[in-house]
Amino acid sequence: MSEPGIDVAGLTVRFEGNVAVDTVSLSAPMGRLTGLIGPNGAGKTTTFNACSGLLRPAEGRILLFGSDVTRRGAASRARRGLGRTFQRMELFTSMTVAENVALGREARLAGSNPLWQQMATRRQRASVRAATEEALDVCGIGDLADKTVERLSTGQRRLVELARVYAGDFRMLLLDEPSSGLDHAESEHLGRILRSLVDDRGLGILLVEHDMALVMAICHYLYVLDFGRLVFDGTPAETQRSPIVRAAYLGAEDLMEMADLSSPAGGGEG
Amino acid sequence: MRQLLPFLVVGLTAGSLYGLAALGLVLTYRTSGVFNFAHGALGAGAAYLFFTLHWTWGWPWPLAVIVSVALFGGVAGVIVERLTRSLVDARVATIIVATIGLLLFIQGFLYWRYGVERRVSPDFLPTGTALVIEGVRVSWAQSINFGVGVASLIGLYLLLHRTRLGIAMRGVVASPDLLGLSGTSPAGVRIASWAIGSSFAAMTGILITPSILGMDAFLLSALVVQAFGAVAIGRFTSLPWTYVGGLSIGALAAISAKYLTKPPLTGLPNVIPFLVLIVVMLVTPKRKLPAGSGRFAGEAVRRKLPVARPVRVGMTAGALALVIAIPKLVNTRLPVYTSALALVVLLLSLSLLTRVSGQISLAHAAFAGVGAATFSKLAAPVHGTGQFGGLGTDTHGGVPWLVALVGAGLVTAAVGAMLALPAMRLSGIYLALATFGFSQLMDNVVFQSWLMFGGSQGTLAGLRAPRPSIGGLDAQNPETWYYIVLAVVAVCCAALVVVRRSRLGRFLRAIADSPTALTTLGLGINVTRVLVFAVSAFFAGIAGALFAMQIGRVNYISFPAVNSLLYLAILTVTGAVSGYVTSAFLAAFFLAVMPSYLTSITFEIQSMLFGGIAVAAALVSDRVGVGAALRARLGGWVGRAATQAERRRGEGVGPVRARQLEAPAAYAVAVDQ
Repeated sequence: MSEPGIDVAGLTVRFEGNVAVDTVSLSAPMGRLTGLIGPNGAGKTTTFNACSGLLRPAEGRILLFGSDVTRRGAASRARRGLGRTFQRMELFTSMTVAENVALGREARLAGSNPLWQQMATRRQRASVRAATEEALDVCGIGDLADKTVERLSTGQRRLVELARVYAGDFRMLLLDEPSSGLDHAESEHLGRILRSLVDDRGLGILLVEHDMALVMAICHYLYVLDFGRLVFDGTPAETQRSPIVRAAYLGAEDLMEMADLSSPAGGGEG
Repeated sequence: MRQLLPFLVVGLTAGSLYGLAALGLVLTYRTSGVFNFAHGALGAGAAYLFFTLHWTWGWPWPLAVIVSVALFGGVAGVIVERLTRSLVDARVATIIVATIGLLLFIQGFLYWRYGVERRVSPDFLPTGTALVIEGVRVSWAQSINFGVGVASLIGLYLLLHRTRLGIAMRGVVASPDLLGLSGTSPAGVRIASWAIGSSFAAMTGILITPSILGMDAFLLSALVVQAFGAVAIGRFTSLPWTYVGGLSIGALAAISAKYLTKPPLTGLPNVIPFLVLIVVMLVTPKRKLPAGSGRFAGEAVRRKLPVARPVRVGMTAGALALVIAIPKLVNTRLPVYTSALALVVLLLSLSLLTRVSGQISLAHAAFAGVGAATFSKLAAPVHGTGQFGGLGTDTHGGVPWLVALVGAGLVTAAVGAMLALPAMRLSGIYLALATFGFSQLMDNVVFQSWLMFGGSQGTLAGLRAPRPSIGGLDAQNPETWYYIVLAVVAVCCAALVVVRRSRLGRFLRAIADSPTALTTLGLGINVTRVLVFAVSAFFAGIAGALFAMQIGRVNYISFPAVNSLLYLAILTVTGAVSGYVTSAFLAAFFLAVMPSYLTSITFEIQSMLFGGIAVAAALVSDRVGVGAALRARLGGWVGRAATQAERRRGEGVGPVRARQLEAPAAYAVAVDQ
């Protein structure tokens, strides 16, 4: 648990005077599935965008694998091993599934080097092919490889996006609502994939998710955001018992109850 | 100051009218997201209509003004709104092509109907002295021109802030969906703003004709250029600043015209709006520039004909055989085909940029010019003074032909990479404007200078582009020359096909779909953008060199900036129905070959035709496909008929406007890149 993944220290993000994220600090080490939950508009995706370098924070620092990347751009962070998915999916819709997944690897290999952007060595090509096949296989979408993304369902697209970061060999993953749009069975399948990435391969995952059943089932540790502030952090069981979290989710109790029923980790709170 | 004052008066009068046109442009852009390249052309249409009504038919001028402004301007605005409404979700390039097509159409129509020569349009406003400032006479006409601009600014401001319609207009900018939900139809509001915006253009056209521009369809259409600069000063949002921008551009142009009297700098006043535009775009943070309509989806879905592979191979082989056999078939028309071949390379290089990577370039004519000039300087033996014998030539003769050709490509590639700097920051309409600005700068200023086609022998003399002498081949023989060009073109096409299939090609297609995703996967997309501009410019430069050799001597008018618009338009048309390579060949055929056969089709009619077809193609091309568009249209009719039938039975609820409920991608909050 001690190997650092991504660490956020005192992050503040403002949009034209509105504070979207207010001095949030959190830590998602390697080998742990860390959840980031909170009601709509709590600042989860904004935190992600700041972590991955898509927007510049007003204050605070982002550390990736122990080194400060606050001033680095998104591509540079990605090349250091930070991968992410998007709530509003960012897929290459006019390309096939296999091409999408392969680009996950190729983009990282090419980086900002004009030469590598134009051509690949035989060895690179082989590694891209192998990574693509493995990623498609792990995510269970091998049969979709030659389909254009445009023709896929939302659930299938989520898996393509996941396969793409998997193929990129990113060691720290930021996943933004990977289960939205998935049916129950697909969602369970996703949960198993995520856990095996963390448990078997030692990756670090920071997960934003609205499906409380999934969160409670697979996360090791949770952070709860509300109105841009961190209101609680603890294990899933502690989180469910916390009155603060309940207050934050007021009006969304059914989510919590659903989680109570289905979560193996769920505590005795009634 | 005393000496400047007369220029200032003229400049501010013109500037006030530029401001008026710019106000109309910014109004329509902000309410619909469609940046109207045909804005100035609408003004030109109104000016010619006024001319006919007042001077030819003898209507009293107030009546003619009312008809040309309110009726023509209003109706034209409504028509443009109708045309562009369906494009809200289309690709940015498609939207741009649609309005460029309209520009070409209107311009062609006016040339055809009224002739290309510039006409004098007498003053219809009183020209007596209104006031005298420091000894400088200001006429009534000038005062009225100035006053109309100010009044329009105030009127528009009051409209937007004091009336229901105005508030709805501002609402449509902020959130068309919410406005729709609150019971006001965004479409209605857009129609109103297009009508107002276009009548501003019409008013400008009528007022600016007598004293400032004269009756010239080209100059009047270029009004949109002045408006670009003014709109940029208003940062594409602020009305007062837009007007101030118009004033300052008018004043700057007039003052610089006083001082810059030597060629090539005489062209500079024309370019001032673009210089302003580019500077503003480069210094304004990207998030401060409002997003227009449209998305950056990649290549339109390949509509491959459902033919069997052997048939396709056969067709390709047949086409190839035809291209090889052409010298035996066309007799004296061969030079036309050779030009077309050079054009293929140019169009294919443009296609790599626009069709594959979803970027926009309106600078390809300028690239070709750079290539042509570089080649000529490298390859041509320099006679006489050797004053422009830079770039390694000496008086004995140029460098070997092939070296000069590749050199032309490389120099153009460097220029393209430089132009990619704005591409890194800008996208969509802003990139289009920046590249067009570059094109104008080259056309108006740089091409005439010693750097390019200028020189001691006078501006029109230009440069000689010698054909190669390879072994025993006689390149002066048209047939031999055709095959030499064909060989070069084949190599270039092959290279461009390979680029598209290579790793870079995959990145380009991906950039078109989601630059954000590519960045978060670790790709330095700024490098990619510079690369694609450089590669595209490289081949455009070679095309320019081939073209120069074809005609033997090139000068600064050989590569007009307007051609870039035509290239993009025609490529959209052919690209809608055919693949990457085929569309370039088809486009070259339509541009270069067809007109030589249809001699009854004059240049004016050709412009009209291409423009009209480009608009039509833009409307049906974008992914939607002709079939799907028709289906949607039919579906709409059937649906409406059904709702009406239901209503008649007295059981229906009102028709649900599905289009308003779905959020157009343009207005969604995109992740800041």
